[in-house]
Amino acid sequence: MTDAGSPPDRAHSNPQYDAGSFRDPSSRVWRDGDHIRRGLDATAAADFEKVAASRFFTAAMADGSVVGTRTVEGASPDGREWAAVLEHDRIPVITYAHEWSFSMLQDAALLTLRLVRAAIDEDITTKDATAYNVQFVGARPVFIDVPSFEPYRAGEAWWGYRQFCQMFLFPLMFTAYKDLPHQPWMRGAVDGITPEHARRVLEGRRAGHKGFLSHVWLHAKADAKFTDSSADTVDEMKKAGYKKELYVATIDRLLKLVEGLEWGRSESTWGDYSQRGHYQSKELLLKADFVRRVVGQTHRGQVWDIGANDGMFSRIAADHSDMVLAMDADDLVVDRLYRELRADGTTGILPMYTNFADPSPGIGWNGTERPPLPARSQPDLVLALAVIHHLALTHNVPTAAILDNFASLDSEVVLEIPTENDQMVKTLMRHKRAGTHDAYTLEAIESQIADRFEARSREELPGGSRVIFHLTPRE
Amino acid sequence: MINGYLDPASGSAIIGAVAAGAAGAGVAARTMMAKMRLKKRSADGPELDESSVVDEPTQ
Repeated sequence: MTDAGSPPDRAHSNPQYDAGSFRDPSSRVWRDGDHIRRGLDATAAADFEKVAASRFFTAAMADGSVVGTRTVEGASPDGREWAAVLEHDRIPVITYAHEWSFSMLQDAALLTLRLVRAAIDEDITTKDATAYNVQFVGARPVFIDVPSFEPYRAGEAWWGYRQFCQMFLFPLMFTAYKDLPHQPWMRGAVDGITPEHARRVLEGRRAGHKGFLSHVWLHAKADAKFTDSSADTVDEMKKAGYKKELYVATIDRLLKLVEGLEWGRSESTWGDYSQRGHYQSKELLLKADFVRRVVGQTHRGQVWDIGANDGMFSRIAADHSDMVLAMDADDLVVDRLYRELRADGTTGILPMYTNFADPSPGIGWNGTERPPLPARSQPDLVLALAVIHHLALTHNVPTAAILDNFASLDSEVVLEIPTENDQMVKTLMRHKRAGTHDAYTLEAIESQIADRFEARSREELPGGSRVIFHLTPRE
Repeated sequence: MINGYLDPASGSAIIGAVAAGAAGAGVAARTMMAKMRLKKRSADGPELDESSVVDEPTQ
């Protein structure tokens, strides 16, 4: 339920608690240099001892579905004496459900349910089920909130059920049943979609969809009717005959439901981009060579590929970096890339739904509980291949502001500029008022580049309408 | 509505049982009935214990 994976190396020189680690008072996470540590109070420490001794937990850590965790000695940032301190393997880049594609959210949901299902066989449950408990290492989901596991108390229902619905099931249903992207909803509320909101969106002619009646409609009605604490309900449910078998059946049925959810859409704005009909094959090869030369100069930590689409250039960069963030504003292409990478077993590329013209803001408490991307990832190289014209001409962001943004990342940039003579630029300008983008010229942009960057290399692509640069920030 | 972190509130806890299928729906129904009886009882107020009634002295 907390982050502490990969804040930039250039910050966090002193240990400090993670800004997203406070909701469960029994533990807190902090970063100490490259180490991710977690303090546990006495109860959580005793629980962890039992969990760590279980077969399911050992197996899940061994196969990478639970983050590598060990007990260490270590001081906390505020001098608090925790009963135990854990160290977790570091997650290269932290991402959130509003940055995942449908299949990523579905895989995170299935990982959560499969772990809960395996745990209950050894009388272990989870106290919550937020999507923040799961992270991705490349295209592999990893459960990171180890203290969420605790011993199961006989006769209790799964405490994570509501969160699971709000943060996994309802967003997945929105996409599967209504073709609504889940990302704006999850970005809009740190706790996800309430049962009542889900009911209002999902009910109607197609309300007969699997799971709607119980998980959504009845859930919303019961939520409105029974508003007392669930702690008060535990004994009443026990008296009414609630047993562990029902807990198991709930998880099994949720697993079946989530496994069966499918997103039927197969077309989108950029869904056919990988065919790249607007490029001549020679132009594409030279562009790939240029990128290969730059990324091959040195091994880099993180690379951002903005507008990654099918991941062609992310794959080139992945050979020479720890992690490539393959960002795209088209949820369908992100989903396709994720499924390809998952099938390949690639772990060096992390697909991410991101509209660079409207990137993820900080959400949750203080706006820092789930911080914006630059607080989570520091790129050493940015690939901005044929995106500047979309930002400038579609979103009307001034080219100087775009370059300021790239410069603020303090990293090298490979920038491809489609000039005013480019066919795609002409298409984008066609529906704009005359004169709106007169300033979009190669000459003007090159002058703005010179104010901010050193151009290490510059190459005109064979079609004559695109120029590609390798830039380093000015000191 | 009570919906605190790590406390999903009664409505969700009960529907979690419904999600288990027919047997769970039975548990959920009995829990809801018990809750509604309790609610009705508290809405009606405490039952009057006649032995506790003392006549007001008349003047």
